[in-house]
Amino acid sequence: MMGLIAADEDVLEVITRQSRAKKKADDQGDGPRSFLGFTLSGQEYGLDLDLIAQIVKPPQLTWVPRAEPYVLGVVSIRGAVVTLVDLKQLMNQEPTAWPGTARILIVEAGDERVGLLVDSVTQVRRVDNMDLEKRPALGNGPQNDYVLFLARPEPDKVVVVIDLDMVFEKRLL
Amino acid sequence: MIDDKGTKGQKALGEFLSEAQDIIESLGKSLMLIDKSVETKDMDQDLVNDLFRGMHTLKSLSAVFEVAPLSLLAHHEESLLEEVRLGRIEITAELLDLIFSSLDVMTRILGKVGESEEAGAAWKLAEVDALIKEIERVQKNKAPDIEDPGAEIERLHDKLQLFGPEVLEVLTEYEEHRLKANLERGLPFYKIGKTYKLELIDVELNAVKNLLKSTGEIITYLPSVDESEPEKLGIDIILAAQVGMEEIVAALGDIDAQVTKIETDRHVSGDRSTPPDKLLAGDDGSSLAGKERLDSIPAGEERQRAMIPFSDSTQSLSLRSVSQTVRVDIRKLDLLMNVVGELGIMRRAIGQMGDQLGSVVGRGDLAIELHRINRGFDRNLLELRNGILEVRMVSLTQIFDRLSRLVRKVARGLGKEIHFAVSGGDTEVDKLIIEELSDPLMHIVRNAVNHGIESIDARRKSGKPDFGTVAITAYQKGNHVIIEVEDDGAGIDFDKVVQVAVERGFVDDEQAHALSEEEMLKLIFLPGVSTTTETTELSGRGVGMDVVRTNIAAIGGVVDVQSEPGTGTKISITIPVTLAIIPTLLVVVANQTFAVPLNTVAEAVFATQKDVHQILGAETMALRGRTIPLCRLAEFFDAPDLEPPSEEFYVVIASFGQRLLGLEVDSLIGQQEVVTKPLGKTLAKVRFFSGAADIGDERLVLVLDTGAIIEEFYSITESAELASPAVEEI
Repeated sequence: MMGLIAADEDVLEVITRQSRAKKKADDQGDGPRSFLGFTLSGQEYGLDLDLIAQIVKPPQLTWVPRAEPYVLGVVSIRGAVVTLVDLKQLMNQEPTAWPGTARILIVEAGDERVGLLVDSVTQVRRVDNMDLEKRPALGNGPQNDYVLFLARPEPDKVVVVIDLDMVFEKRLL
Repeated sequence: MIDDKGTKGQKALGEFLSEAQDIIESLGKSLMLIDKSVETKDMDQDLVNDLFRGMHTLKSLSAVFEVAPLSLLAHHEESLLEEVRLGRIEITAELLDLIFSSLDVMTRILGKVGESEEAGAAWKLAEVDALIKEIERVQKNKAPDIEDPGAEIERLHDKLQLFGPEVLEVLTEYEEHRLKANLERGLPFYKIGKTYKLELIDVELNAVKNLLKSTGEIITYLPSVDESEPEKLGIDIILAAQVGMEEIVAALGDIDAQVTKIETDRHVSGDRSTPPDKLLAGDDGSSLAGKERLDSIPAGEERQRAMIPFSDSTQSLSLRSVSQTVRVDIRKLDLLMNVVGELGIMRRAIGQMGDQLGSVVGRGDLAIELHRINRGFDRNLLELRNGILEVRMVSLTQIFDRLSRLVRKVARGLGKEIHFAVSGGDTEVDKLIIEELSDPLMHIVRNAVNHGIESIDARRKSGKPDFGTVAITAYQKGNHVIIEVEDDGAGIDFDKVVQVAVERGFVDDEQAHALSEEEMLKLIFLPGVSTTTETTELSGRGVGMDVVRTNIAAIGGVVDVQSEPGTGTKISITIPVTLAIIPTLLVVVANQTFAVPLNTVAEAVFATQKDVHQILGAETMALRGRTIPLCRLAEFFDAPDLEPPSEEFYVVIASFGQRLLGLEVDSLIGQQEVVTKPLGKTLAKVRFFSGAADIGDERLVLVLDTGAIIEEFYSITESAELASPAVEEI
């Protein structure tokens, strides 16, 4: 688990910079790569650590009338207006329960920052580059376009690393 | 003064205040530069002149507005500076302290005048008196005049003669002082002769002066009139140079001027093979000998008059900027911005008409033409909007200057040596942002000097140079400006921060141990954590980083901190370049607050279901004999868990072009000015909202795009072929 401070919500941003510095060193050659692990409906997914600017607890949400169903609303993150989208709905899954253990991953999408709602954040996964299954053949499922890699950090554990560009291209931009 | 209040008016007073404040700012700036060069003894004399002239302007200005304490103080400062200028009083750090504190008092007097003129006039004179006494003491204690005719002076006197009477007779006391001072330093003198076209003389002479500035000090100008060319004026510039002839020629570049060295090394009684008259003349046969030229204008009064045009153009910056810039009340720009908003609404209405016209058979060409015109309108409107935004932009220089003074003051008070490095002061930001930025930056910089930079002893122990460095850097990155304040001090004491955070109950002991450095840094933004227990005069009002962060967030900015124990701290502020502030009416719809731009609100009324009339299937209400269609916003917004219409509600009468629409809302909260921030591209498809705003509440508030709502509402009703309830014919 990353050290989360149970204090002021606003301060609850766990900046991943430190882990990122480690990652930078790792990325040289075929060493391990770092992903942030999170869950959607029980399945663990991963996103390249570089893509994530911040992780925050769900703040007060403002509903945006007549927006797409996957848009949960807008939130103010450190003074900026961030659109919050439900990653599960984007990936054609059932809507996420709000707020519960949910966390928001703030990612860069084009010129703006977008918040992705996920069920929970697990940990930073470091997976050997060699152990990644690139673009696995998973048949014709509706979500398969979004799969970049399959990683197996532990023998019985499969982490689905998401191709965020693909998600955005298909649905958001 | 109280009696005059009505006649002079608030407007004139406002202008006086801002001009006086500008002058004080620029005085402070000159003073900082002098302070920097005071140790090297290599000061730009122009700075002292700027100071003197600025003080003079301030004196006259405050006398006109009858701010007695200010004009009195400025008067004494001016006479003090006159003596400094003439070299009778030496510039020391103590002298600068005195002038700095005078500026502080002046700023405070202006603040009082701003509150009310009476308060300004009745400013406790004790403080002003104390300063004046101090000024008089300095003036009395000045070094005895160097008038005593020692051998050195005698030798100088001889050397002076080399310039010839035609020069010496016309020098003002000040110019003579500078000439002597430079002679004493043994600097070489050059004469730069050039003829100038009369109509361009101020421009050309300024250009030459600026080019020469890097080479030395300009002592005086000697004009001459060549009768054969009445539209031209010859001017010889006497320059005390820091560099040789070649550098001067190089500095002048393409400018066609003759540079001649004036021999000052030889003894007058010695070799006279080159008589001074000759030396003053150009090499060129066409230029007349200095003596003859000067003969053509009687020395003294006439010459003074001839010099007025260009000596004026060399006046201090503050005067020049007054003539080239216009002071505008920021509220007037806000007003213009609102007009631009209205024009935008009209533009859309015209576009809509074009669409309607396009569907009329046989009118296609007209529709195309209308669209073409509308596009041109749109382009110009955008230009107008950008132009207004640009006018609102102000450089950070003023704030940075104030910070320089702050650093100097705090550092002197603490006995620390600080090198304050400033860069990117020319970065521009919206005026309103600048206002909001001032206090947080002051706090951050004060912190850096106060707590960041260690005492000299501590610095020596850790092998750092005696002087600490505080660097402030600003630069633009896309639509944001980033301001970084970096010091090479001790860095943030993490242990102490965590300790305070635990004491205040933000984290428990267990969590405290697990904190990463990044997380510890976040803790300083919690209320009360960064405020030191001891509140000195210098650490100010005891505001902490939490306030800094809140203030910066209010203008849509972000604060980041990086700190390395032992090596220093860097605080970065990222702020938007512009702010769009609009007055709105806050309303509640389906349990959520929305903001309606006030410029689209005609009025807001209380209503009950009894006021609602069904006309041809449309809900309407009558307001002073007018029929106004109603739009239940909660329904229009497809609110989840839509409640049945309540018995009592409010109607916000919104207007768009010629159309009115009554927006049914649950309740009214009130008027509030909000800073709108754009919605991201992910929401580009969502119409009806022009942006979101922070209203101090945790939650964002969406700002209605009233025009789009009315447009959509009417297109629905029209397509349903309901009676178009246009209120007036266009």
